[in-house]
Amino acid sequence: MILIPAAAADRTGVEACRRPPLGGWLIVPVLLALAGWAEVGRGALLWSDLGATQVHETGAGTDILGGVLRRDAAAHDTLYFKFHADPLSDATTEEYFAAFQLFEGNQERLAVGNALKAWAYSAFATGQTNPTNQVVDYIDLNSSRPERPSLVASSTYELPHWGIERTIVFKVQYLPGGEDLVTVWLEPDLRSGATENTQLEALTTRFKANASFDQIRLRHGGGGEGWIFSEMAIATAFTDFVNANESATGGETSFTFRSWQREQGLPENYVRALAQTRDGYLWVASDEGVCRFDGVNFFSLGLPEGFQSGPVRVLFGDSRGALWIGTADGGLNRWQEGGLVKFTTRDGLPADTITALAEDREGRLWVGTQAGLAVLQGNRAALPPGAERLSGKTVTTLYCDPQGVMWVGAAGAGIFAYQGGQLVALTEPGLDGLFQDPHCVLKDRKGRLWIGAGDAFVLCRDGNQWLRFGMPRHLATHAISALAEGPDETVWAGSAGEGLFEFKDGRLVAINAGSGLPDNIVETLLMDREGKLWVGTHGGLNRLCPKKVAALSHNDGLDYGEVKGLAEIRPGVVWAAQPNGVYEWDGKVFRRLIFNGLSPGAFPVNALLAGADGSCWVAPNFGLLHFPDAQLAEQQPGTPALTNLSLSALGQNRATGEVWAGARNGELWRCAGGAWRAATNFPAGHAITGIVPDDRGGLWVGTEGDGLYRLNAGPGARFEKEKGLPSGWIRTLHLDAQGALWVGTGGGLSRLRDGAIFNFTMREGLPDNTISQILEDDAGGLWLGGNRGLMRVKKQDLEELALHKIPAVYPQIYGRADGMLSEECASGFFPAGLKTAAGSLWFPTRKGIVVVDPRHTVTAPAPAVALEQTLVDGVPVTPARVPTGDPMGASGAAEEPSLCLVPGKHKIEFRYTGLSFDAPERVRFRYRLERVDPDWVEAGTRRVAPYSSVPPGTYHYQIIACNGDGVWNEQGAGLLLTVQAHFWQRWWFLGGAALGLLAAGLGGVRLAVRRRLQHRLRRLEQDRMLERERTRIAQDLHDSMGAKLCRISFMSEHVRRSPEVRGEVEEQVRSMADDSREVLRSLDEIVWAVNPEKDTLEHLVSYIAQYAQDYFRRTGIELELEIPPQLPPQPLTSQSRHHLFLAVHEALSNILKHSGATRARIAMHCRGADFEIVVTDDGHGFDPAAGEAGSASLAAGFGNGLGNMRRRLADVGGRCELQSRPGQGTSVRFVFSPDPPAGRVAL
Amino acid sequence: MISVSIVDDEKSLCESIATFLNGSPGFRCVSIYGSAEAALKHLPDEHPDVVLMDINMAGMNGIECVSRLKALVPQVQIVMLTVYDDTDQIFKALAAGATGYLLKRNDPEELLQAIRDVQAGGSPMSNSIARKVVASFQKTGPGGEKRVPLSSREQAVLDCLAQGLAYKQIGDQLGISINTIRTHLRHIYEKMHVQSRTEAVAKYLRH
Repeated sequence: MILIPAAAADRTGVEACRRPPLGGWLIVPVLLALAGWAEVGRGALLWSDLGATQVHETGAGTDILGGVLRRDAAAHDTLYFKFHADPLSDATTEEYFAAFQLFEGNQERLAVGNALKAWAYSAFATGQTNPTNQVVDYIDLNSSRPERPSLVASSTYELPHWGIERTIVFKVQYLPGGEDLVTVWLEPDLRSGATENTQLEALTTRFKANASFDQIRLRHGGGGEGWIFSEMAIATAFTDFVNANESATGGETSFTFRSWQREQGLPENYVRALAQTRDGYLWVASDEGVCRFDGVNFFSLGLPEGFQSGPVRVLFGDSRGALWIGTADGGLNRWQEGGLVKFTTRDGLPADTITALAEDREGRLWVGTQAGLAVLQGNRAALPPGAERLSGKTVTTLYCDPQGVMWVGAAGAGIFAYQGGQLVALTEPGLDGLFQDPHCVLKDRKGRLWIGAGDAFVLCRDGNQWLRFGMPRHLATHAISALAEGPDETVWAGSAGEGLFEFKDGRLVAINAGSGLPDNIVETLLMDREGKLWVGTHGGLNRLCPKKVAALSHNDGLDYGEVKGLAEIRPGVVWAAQPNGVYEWDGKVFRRLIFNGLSPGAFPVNALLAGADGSCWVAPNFGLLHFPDAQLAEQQPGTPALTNLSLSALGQNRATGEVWAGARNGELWRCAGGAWRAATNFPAGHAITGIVPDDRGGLWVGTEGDGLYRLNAGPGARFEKEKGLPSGWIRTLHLDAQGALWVGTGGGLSRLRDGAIFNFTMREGLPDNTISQILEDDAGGLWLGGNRGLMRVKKQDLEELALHKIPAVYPQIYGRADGMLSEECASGFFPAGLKTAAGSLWFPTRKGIVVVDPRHTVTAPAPAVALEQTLVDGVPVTPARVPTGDPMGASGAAEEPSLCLVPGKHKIEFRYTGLSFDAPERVRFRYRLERVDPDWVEAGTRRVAPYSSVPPGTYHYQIIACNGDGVWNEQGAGLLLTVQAHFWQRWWFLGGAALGLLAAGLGGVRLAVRRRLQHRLRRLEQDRMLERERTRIAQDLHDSMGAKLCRISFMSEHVRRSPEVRGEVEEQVRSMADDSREVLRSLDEIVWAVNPEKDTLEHLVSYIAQYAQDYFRRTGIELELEIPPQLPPQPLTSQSRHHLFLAVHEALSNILKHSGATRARIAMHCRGADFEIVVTDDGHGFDPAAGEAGSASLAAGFGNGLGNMRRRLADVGGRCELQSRPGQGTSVRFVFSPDPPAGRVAL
Repeated sequence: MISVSIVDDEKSLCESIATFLNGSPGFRCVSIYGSAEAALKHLPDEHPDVVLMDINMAGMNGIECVSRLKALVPQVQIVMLTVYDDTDQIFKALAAGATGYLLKRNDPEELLQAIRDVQAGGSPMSNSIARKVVASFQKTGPGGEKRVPLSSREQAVLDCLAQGLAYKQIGDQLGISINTIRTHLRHIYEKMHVQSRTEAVAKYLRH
């Protein structure tokens, strides 16, 4: 093991090693062990290049490592290499070699690929001089897909074929002396759970070779087009490749994305920047401006707030609670407590294009712009001392690390740490080229420095060792745009083109459109206070949600479809009944059991029961089988019983061992001491759906349609029917340790205790009235499986509900979004669902089994509460902020707003919000106006509190909120409300009057309370209507304005014709008419531009055609249109549509104003994936060069417009070309790609 | 003298248009209605030559009104008057039985011309509308049944229009007069009305 400083090299992913390898990499297994994983030998990915490289006739080839990593004859560790080959040369038709080859200096060492003479996948090291190396010529590699004997003599080898891709992994155990042990796996199994020990011997080849290296070269020589190498990596454990490969093929992830797009109220789908302010709000920047998000509603900053909308590039929430908004060309804005302050070049900023923002330890804001760096102090921006060298450079990133060091990245300048008043450049041989193109910087909690740089590289400095990861590059733009660190020390990298990358536990996992991310262009990342990652893409705003439940399905060895009975036959081993058999889970995978003597017709199996004695009862189609020893069920045939009955329910008295069986025809049987007896006193006729013996010798039996029966212990006891259940159709039963029986029906959940029944339904807060499964966790939570997923409700809450202490329960809900494959839980058999000895809960569903570990369900932190707006008599008012006298008020948090109202009767409305992004719709509120509300008002999820009349006085108004898990923020938000009194409301007046009125008043109070309740209900209804109404207003406003303007147009035309109107007056009336029509046209344009129904290419084309005809009407210019007869149904966002239309409009207006043309022509065509619009005229043209230089006045007018057109096209990712010559007309060509339909981009 | 009736829920606008029409020689506004319902009740007894109809009205909208009015008084000519140049809406109205349309923001003089044209049997069709018409004739019915077919000449005129050609250019290309083009367009409109009626019946029968 020798360490060499890096030599200059910069091609693809390179890793440098500067310390003994194992020491640095062992951190990861330790952490995993803490997490309870049993897997050993997990290492770290040292180097990877996921991108594809084609090699063809390389000769000796060039190094892709850059000389920074080296193993020589003294090394004694193990490395794993992986590459993926896509042969473009075919071994059956041409002779060639291609290889991933280790080099030591210019010495060829081990090569894996295709040797020249071998014609099969092979390892070789030609020119080998080391006499101990046994690979002198070549070694063919074993394959589990060998050729037919006609092609090669031996049938254990495989030829590289054109178009047939293979992955090769090889392991080198370095031994001092150079006789290293090599193991090659050709096309190994890299699916989840695979290790090097699980690989088939048929695809494994072992030999000795000298695998010393300080370079890796990709080589090809001979016939064909070469090979494409991709997914190359070096790691310290085989399992590193297993995980990386799994994600690359779109395997199951442990999370889902929750997305907000325009349909969900996001103003614009292109998310450019994200920030969270101290008050908890999330802020989203787009090309249209900035909006605030509370998890439910988006609120855009606009002119009423003093904000001029326009493209925003950077957002930053500082420690004082302010939001900083860096715009694309309008300087910097600070938004704090409803006020906006603007900073531009006049305040000392180097440019008005803001590119990066960060706050240093002293609370100063650092501002990166297109033309240099500045620090904001007070209201002036100035260049920080020692940063002169960045003047004029574009600052691409600013980042203040946890140690307080400010990192500055500037394009073409490098990455710097600002220390002691000067910039210290980050430098590393071999990486300096990448440092010149920095995009983002992050320092994680382990102290590792992460950098997104260059075209698609993530660099990581761990200690003094650099790791370098090359990312795949399918698109033209693919820079790493953002980095973020999660609470579990996962580092996330967002790529503008390739989605998201997760660096976790030494693994690199790609998450892209194939894994649920709506778009692969990630512009920004944000880790919120709840520790969840937000991803801003061109396809909207996304939040990463970990799956809360695990699903076991056909991926785990089950058959497709429904699962019924479940039984744990011994700890950790579970049987699951499915339509075609019984499957056994061994902790890793399901395997179908082959029961001796059970005919195929015996299936489906419905109910299963694990006996207390290690036996198992299986109820197939007819009869019942008893396996005395469930572990030997496949060897020893079961004992049959009740062979003519179709059983649906089984139950055992754990104390006596007595087993009960209920049949579909309603018969109930009991087995004691090995003999079955029918319960003759049970009223048969309805299928039995639940049997629960209690520990006092009694029995509960539920039926389908005939309700619930109770059999008490003792001789001669009769079955008594329970009355008072909401439905006679019993779906399931659960007896808890306190002796309460919980009954699931189609009409909700019922509790029977001490002879009393209490029913819980959707009215009491259950999300679903169908309860098919009931399980209980160790923390007193009931888990209910229904048709709409799982819900967990605390028994304590149900208890309080039954005592009318609380009006409703708010269960936690788990559905498809949390990882369930089907939300419908299976029913019609008993026992339904399983609680294992280890405490995990298993719910059979229509698609597989859902497993919940109740101890691992984390609860989210309490939501922040904000009073957003106070309306007095329908008008928003801004409360004053007064210090509450808190001496620690330096943070500014101890200020409570206050509001003082003039005497009189006021309608007051408080609008508030709760900021929890985990389940924003489940945030619930309570509010109270002290001394007006006798107690907290349960507002549910409502976010508005109306008060019709508040008597004079000073009141404290308080709102508190809880999240979906029921965690309350008792602090909440509040406001001090003062209503001033009229003179006759003052105390001395009231004192006298009160005595007389006391008696009468008492009677009135009751009435008043009732009225207030009714009033609140009415207000709620009104609010909903208002919401609906608001969406309609925008359109209506245009409509009514439109009608008025039309009227002006007609009236002025009428007036103009009257004989009295002549001369100048007539001209004025005419221009009035023209103006009104012009306004109407603009209005029309606006409505068209914002209407989402018009978001297609066809609408754009139609609109341009119609508009152009209108535009040139009566201008003397003849218009020719050329439109393709049919257009593909391409979506086109409102933004693109508007830009394109305005660009064409610019061209038309140039023709009319400057060209002097008599003919104009608009031709629109599809050209492959592009669409083009060509606008030509036969006017006098101009010299474009002169136009852009601004010399000729005519050309200058046009040139100006040209700039606009180019910008607009650039904004939609297109281009604009102009052709013109004096006397020969002008032609403007707009080319763009319509928005591609959402699709997958494979890694 | 062309008698005109106006249906628009914007009363003041109706009155301005009426004033304007009555001040124009050769035109007479015989009635104005503030709603589609009122128009359906009284218009069939009035027999105006041309009805000017707003699309977006409170209550029943103009498109529905056209389709019912055409069923009651097939010979009446309807010109849609609309604030916004919304191709989809206009197309629906034309399919329902209107034979012309005009934007309210057009020069009032053009309104007179449009009424004259419709009265004389002309049916204007813009390029954008033509594109929608082409698409509507390409669709097959719910049961896969054949639509009312266009003649080859009608199809040719429609295709030219959909590709952006002006009437004059179409005339040059197909060697026919502008009047002939107008006749073809009228026939296309008629077939479109038949088609939309069949669809309505089919829809009715299915329910």
